[in-house]
Amino acid sequence: MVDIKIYTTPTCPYCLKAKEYFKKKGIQYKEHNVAQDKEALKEMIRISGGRSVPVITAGEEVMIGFDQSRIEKILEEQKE
Amino acid sequence: MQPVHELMILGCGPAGMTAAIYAARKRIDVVIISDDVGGQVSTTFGIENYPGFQYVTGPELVDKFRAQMNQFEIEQHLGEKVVKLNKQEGYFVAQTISGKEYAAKACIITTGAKPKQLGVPGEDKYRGKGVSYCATCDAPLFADATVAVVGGGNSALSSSFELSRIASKIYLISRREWRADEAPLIENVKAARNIEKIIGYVVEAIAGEEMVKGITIKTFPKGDEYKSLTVDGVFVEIGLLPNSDFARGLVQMNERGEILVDCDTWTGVPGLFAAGDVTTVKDKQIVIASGQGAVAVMSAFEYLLKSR
Repeated sequence: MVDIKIYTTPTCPYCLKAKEYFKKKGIQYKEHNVAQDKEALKEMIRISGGRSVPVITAGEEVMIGFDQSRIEKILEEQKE
Repeated sequence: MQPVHELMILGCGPAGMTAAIYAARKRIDVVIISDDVGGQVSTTFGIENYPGFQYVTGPELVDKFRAQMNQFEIEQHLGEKVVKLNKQEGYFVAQTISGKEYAAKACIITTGAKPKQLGVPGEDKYRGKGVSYCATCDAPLFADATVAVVGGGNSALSSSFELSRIASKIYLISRREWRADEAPLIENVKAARNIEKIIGYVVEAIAGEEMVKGITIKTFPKGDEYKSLTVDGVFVEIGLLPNSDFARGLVQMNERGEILVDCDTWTGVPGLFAAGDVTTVKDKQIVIASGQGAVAVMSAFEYLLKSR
């Protein structure tokens, strides 16, 4: 299984939605709270080129925002 | 096609969840379908005008609504965006983005509204790169930054106040005097020393390199004077657009796309009701949306009884 990382803020409903989705699907992920963790914030800005949460990475893939159909497609491709 | 339910609720914000609770307590066979849970409430910082709570955050209030709804066995399809609503052979049929179809004898639309865009150069390019429509989500990323908040309503003031505790400087820009009407909020914003109020200006363009570096504003309505402001972020809080496109052709709307309803939430289409921010109701408030959600179920119940 590919490594999933999610960069979040505690008050972001889209982050919550993404995490609920992963939990429902039984997909393991690592969460970085960028409101607290300044290093993670720098890393998030570097890899996403943006200042917006959530940022989700699946291996080499970087997604800004939570797009369920896109994440499903990526996970499907990674399986193959 | 799924089996035909008695009632279908589209949307799961305050109006939708209230409707679901009322419907379940009336033992109506109900299904709720929604892209998200909580709608705009989930992106609201603090709420001080919902009775029963002196102060509650948006996500906390959504959790309370949801827990109450989940006490009942309600068929829920969440994460499913409705793209088309039709009436076929006396039933309402909702089609979702994944191609699924749900049918019911009566339907309540509670799909709420989404933030309006500025429609200026640079807005799309820098979306997520400094331009944000969700201060609740992104404000913590602007620690010690300079930001602009655009708008003069309660949401703009609320976002500015929250940002004043995180960012170093906030320009609060609106075309005319604030529309905000919550006195405690207005006092808080006025007292915040790092919020600069700029009235009588609109945003002309958003500029930057990799990320937002600044904005140009111009006088409104004349547009004869320009100013450049150096900012790292732009929070857009200029009002709402109803999420009603999926019902176009089926139900009457005003020029803004709000669904026309009477005081019983009836849309004019037999069996079709609408509640909350997606409707022409004048004030977009959580308690009003909730109240309308309850009214809609009463009306739908009456309709179902008569049509049995």
